[in-house]
Amino acid sequence: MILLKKATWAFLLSVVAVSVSPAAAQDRIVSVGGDVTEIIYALGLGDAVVATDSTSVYPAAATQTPKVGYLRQLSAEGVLSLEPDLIVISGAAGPPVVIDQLRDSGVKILETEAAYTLDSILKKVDRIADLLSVREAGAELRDRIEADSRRMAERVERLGLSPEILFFVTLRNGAPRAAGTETAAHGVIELLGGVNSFAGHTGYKALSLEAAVAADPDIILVMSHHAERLGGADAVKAHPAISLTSAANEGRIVLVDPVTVMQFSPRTPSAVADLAETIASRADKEL
Amino acid sequence: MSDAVALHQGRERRAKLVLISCACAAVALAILGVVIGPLQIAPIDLAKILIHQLGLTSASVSEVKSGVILNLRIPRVVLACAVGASLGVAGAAMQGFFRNPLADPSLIGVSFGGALAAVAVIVLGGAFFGSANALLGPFFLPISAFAGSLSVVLIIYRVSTIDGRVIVATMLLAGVAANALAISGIGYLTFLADDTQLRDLTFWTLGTLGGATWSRVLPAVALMLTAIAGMLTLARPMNCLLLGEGDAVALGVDVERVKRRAALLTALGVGAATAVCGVISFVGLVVPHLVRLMTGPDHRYVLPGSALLGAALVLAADLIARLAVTPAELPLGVVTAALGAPFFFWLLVKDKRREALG
Repeated sequence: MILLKKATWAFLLSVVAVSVSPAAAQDRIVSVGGDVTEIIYALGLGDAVVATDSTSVYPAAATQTPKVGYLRQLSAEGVLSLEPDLIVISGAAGPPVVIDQLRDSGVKILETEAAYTLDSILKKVDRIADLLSVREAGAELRDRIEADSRRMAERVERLGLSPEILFFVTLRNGAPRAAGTETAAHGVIELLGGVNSFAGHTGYKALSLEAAVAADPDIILVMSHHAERLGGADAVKAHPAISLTSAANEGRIVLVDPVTVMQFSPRTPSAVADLAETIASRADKEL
Repeated sequence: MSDAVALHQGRERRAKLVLISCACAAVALAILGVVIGPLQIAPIDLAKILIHQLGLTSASVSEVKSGVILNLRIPRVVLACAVGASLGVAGAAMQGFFRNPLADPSLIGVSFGGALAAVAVIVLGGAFFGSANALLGPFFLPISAFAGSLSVVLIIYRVSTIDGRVIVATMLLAGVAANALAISGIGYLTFLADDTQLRDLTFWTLGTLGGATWSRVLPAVALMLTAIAGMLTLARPMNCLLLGEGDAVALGVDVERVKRRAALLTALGVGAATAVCGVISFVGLVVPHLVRLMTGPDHRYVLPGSALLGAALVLAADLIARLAVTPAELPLGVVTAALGAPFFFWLLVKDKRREALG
């Protein structure tokens, strides 16, 4: 009798489990790129993720999965060894020949675009939600992103008209490397309604200290983990070259968290809104 | 007299035995390279895939597994064999050509010269080399690397020779300079490169076999096999060169011609290898030494032995590179350098002791 009861319960539970789990739950997903990983988890499909790359650090659960290495240095058989049903890769992944090998492997693969706009975030969400048949969750996530984007637009408006912004991605050994066009950092500057002082270059390039002084940007952004390694925003401000800029004199050196702000993931609009607020609070006096 | 003959025969027998064991090791490691990998594939499935590929059965295993075997592992193993063999033989040939045991393609800049030419072709691409690219097709990249390697060989040889004798210290220092120049060139070109090009500096400075696809592997392997075959025919004249150039001329060897061919073939083998997988260091140094320890200095055994042991060594190092940090992968050059650099130290210390004693 007890046995029967147990069996009934087990049966009922399994029915519930099957009906609750989305259609994609039996899939094994390898997710390469912090942005796509975040989207997959935000869509409630984290259980299907069997491995991620080293840039996937959010949510915490993603850090517990096996890692296929840095997204620009993948190994084709390494990824395939996890026996995925689906490989979702960010547009930044590489090297190109390994991506070709994965395309030819016969495993279903979803490649997202490497673009740095709000639209690109929504497009990534739509494509992943479509492919994994979780359109409802996708629509919810889209609504949230759009709401955050509106909040961001309001904050950015308060910043005023197109400040000149210089974005340092590293200051290692005192040698700055700044973001030119075609980078996530450039995308962030555009979201902030700013003008990139280093727009004459593409990619992340070394910038001479004197050029940084000569550019004299209104705002200097620094990736937070690099700034912290130096000793925080004050240490950046004390840098012999940066201290000569008006951004430093007027306290408009702002640290940027690369994960939330620069991955162009669902959290980006909200993080950029916060960033805009921080900048606005420093820029009250004059800009 | 009969003692000497017996000794000679014993040595030959031993050398042949060494060649056979190296060949067996290479074959065993090649099979292992196809069988083992990050993706677990049961031997029975592997057999099915291979039989299916031969058209004998219709029974097929999953597309992914057969893709991994046929399009990832087998081209990779083929490439590892060719790269190992050509770097091994090239090392042996260079050591014979420079008559110096420290000559190694990666130490004296030959590999990096090839890598610089390859990167230049990739980054500057169509703009500079459009017509040559159209003419040579898939051979364009390895042939450019060959040209880069050849220039370095010629420069080093010119700089380090006085009256036909190679000054060892000058050769090594010239190599240091050549390496520095080539690496700075590669650094500059990767600075120029955009995201869609191969902008990855580590690929060229610490090679990898991860990019082995048939379309890239086959042209390079064809060039490497040509170079290996050519170098193997140089065994006899190189043996004469061991006696010194004067004696070699007396024995009827056209010394200049032999040197020219050795330089050309070395550059071809090293350049083609570098074009597909970046700089794989120390193979050309370690392998000929180990072979010479086992067979003695006779190039009829050192050259083929270096080809076989080189293939075995690169296959083994690549297994480590693939399996050590799965599902990620180590650069192969990290593994070969970790094995080779201590060996280089050992050579230096050994020579120092001998000099101190002698």
